[in-house]
Amino acid sequence: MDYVRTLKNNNKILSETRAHRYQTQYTADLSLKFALSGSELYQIGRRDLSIYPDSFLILNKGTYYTSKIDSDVPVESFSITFDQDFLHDFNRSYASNPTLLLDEPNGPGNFDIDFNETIYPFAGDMRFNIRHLKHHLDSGLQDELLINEYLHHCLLNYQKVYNNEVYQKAEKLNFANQSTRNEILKRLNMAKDYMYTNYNKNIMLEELSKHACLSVNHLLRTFKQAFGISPHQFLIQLRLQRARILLKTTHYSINEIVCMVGFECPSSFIRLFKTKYIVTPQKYRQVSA
Amino acid sequence: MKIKHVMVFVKDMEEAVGFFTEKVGFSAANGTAPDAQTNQVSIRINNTDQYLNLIVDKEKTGFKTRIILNTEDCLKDYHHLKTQGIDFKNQPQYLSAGLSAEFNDNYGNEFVLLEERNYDDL
Repeated sequence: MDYVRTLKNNNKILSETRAHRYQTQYTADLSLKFALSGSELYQIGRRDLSIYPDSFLILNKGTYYTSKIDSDVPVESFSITFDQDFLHDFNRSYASNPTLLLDEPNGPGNFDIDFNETIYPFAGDMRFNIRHLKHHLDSGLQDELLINEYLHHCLLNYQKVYNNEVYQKAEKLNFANQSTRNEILKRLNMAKDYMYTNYNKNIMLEELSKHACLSVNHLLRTFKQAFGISPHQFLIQLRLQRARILLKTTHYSINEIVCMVGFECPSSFIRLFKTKYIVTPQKYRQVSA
Repeated sequence: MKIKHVMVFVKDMEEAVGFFTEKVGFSAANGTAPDAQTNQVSIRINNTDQYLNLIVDKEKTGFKTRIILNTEDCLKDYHHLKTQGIDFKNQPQYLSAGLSAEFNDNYGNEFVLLEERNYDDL
């Protein structure tokens, strides 16, 4: 369903379903970008960032980007742009909430621009809240207070994601210096972004390390430290997860899905899938249908 | 077997019926006057076959109840009840089971809205 909702406080929500679209523009304010079905490619400078239903992208105010949708089936694109005043209010209420400060002492605060423009997992509470919000907007919800309540929670959820994905991961790196940890994590995120975007291609370690601006050894060592798994394991998990989405939401045959997500042979895919999700892909599809 | 009636002790029947029907949005199943035999008022929880049986407890010997209400969308119901004038104890909280928000009636009974969330689901 297509609509643009600009709220009185200048928060803006855009929903579009397109099979083809190409646009280049500046973000007016901090924006969250989702592809609720299919995928959308964002290009920022020389970086390619693709989002799928299991991930989202956050763009800073004033970022110049190109977004592309080129798909056989329509892609549901959903984006939220937060007004600066709304963000300031959020930060103030966050700073004055002792429970939140105890739970997540290292939220982004002023929305740390270094760690934006990175792909984050779209899961958990954020997924539920966005799904509810979209459902209400699709059915014509007018109550702006309620819409803003969802947007406020969306920022709370982002804060939690940030805390898990940035702060806690950086803490795991064995470097004494905080700024070194942040710099390494930033580069590791670039490696992750590269895998999120090219997950179905044959990714060579040298190529990955080049995109992360780290040597192969350095990448392997620090990636494992921060995320607890190797880049190869991360890639396999990502492929399995995306295969799961395809199994649930499309009618492609299992053999087609195996190729689409970048596995080379169906038998190893089935074995890995079963190890992770306890059921076989076929069974999973039947149960989730 | 399933639960059909839950006792809720209140101090003032008229006020309590007003709270549950007008503010919370439930309905009085058999009118707002207490039943002649049992002296209770049945409040139907939305369109379910489950009821809160309000009973006046002037001597304050009755127990306090904590009732957990399942909701499809906690934020929506939280927002709706807030606009109806219900004071929540705090902002909706994220728990391992999902999203929840708590309010009290005027007699110390606790009500929890709980939206259960399956985080493994895609």
